[in-house]
Amino acid sequence: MEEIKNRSEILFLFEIENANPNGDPLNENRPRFDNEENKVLVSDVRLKRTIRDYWFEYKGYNGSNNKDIFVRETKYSDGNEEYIASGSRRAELFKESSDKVLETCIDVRVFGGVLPIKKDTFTFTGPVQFQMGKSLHQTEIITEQGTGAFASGDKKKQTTFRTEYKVPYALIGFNGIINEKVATYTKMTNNDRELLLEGIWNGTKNLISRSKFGQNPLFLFTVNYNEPYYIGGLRQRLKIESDKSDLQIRNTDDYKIDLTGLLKEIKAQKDKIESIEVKVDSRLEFLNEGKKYNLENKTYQVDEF
Amino acid sequence: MNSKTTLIFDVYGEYGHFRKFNTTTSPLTYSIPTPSAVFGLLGAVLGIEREDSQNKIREKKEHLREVFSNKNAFLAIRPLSEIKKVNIGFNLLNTKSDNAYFNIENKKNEHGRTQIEYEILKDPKFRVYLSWEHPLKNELIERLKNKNFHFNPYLGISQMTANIEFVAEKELIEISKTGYTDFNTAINLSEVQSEKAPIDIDFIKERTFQVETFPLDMQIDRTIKRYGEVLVEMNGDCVRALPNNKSFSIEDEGNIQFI
Repeated sequence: MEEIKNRSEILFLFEIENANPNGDPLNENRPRFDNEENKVLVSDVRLKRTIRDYWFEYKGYNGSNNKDIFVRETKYSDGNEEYIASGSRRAELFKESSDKVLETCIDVRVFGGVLPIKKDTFTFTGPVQFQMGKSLHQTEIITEQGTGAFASGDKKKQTTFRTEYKVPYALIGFNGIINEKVATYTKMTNNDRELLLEGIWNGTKNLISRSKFGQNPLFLFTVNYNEPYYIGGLRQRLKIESDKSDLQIRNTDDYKIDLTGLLKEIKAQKDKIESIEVKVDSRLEFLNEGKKYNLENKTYQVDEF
Repeated sequence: MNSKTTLIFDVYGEYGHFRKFNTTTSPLTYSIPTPSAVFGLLGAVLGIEREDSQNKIREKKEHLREVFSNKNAFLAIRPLSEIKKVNIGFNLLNTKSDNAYFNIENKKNEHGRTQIEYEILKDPKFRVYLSWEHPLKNELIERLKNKNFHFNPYLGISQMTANIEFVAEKELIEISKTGYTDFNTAINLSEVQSEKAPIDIDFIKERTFQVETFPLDMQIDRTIKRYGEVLVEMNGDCVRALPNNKSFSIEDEGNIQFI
């Protein structure tokens, strides 16, 4: 398989409605929140988990046919031989060598990893790095109380209460980067790259657990460069235009995304850009220099903007 | 000091974490990047391989700590904005043994995840002055100017990617003054040899100072040969301090001190 040759930069926007995009384990699972800016945060690891789960569930990276996900849970359970066998087989597989891990595990090729194999310890920084995701507008955390379906212990006559924390709505943006030089270490291929972009989009759509349902991918903007360069901070160049106050935003009808800053920088750096892949939800509306702007699902040449 | 000029560039990002060496399970961050962190960042720009994968692809053979050593590289760091620290909890995996890796949730709960709160710099922005003599210097300048970074530079942790803007290469002018002088950069209290207090105390009412023990000279085997008590003004204001032999004046930049 051909390793990737070009540097790419990723801008990914998704929305979340009445749910918890990323709970903070040290803060009673409240959504991660930036109290200074009143914006909701999503860790890069959450997005990577989303992508890994998609590869595992839908792309066959589940331990069969030499395709696997390195960072995933394999549980021990009593009296279930298959489970234990699969766990040890997995361990045996990875005890061989780091080359074997790289060949098998797509997530090590893409996101890097650390493994303490006795003979062949490795630390790989991933070619793909995401920054912390952040909402593009201010939002708030709502606390919701409800009743649970179970009692808190034996001999109780009433069920327990539960508390959960959510954001009413948030448009969240991630910056990402794919570095072709790092890919020579982890052997990330073009096919992996396609699966990554597919995983970002479809993986976000397929998160149908209770706390994540209501997430939709909205915008995936991948800039492919023809030299080792990247613009950096694509999300920070976007602005939200809305008649409502930030806290009242509840869906895509309530705002337009102002691309002026982004497109200006793209045009300024057009010599370094090979192409731009755009994936967009038809509900989104864009602005450029105050006027309505249309983006389609296709690969753009830089002159087309 | 064997170079009479200094490279000036700005480093910034949304988050950064430069872990203090004495905090393992509750990681705290330095207020400004340490010299070894800045050298690592520049190593990434130049394409010098990580210390643990040195010569793997063999693009560059020299070791990072030789390219930037205590003899040929001097750094001064100036905060360009208020230094803000926030705490963010992370879910960490136990990677101590291969057994732990594959059984994130085992029955006895021996392994598994640990939730650890990291202290993190928010919206860090620093101006770095680097006085450096090395054959790779022109390559570094070209790469910084064109933003042609080999690996992705980052602020301490790989997901906290950094932006770098080259400012200029400027001449270093020696400071003739001996009394208290305003410095824009962090200053190294350990390098002040005087009976007088190293900083002008009257200033303290308007300023917020933080003093941290910095590792200043890291060897190839990661031992530290020189430590220093580094003082930084947390609002990005200047510090009134005594000049030493590593203090210089730069046109349009004010006074700086290499730590």
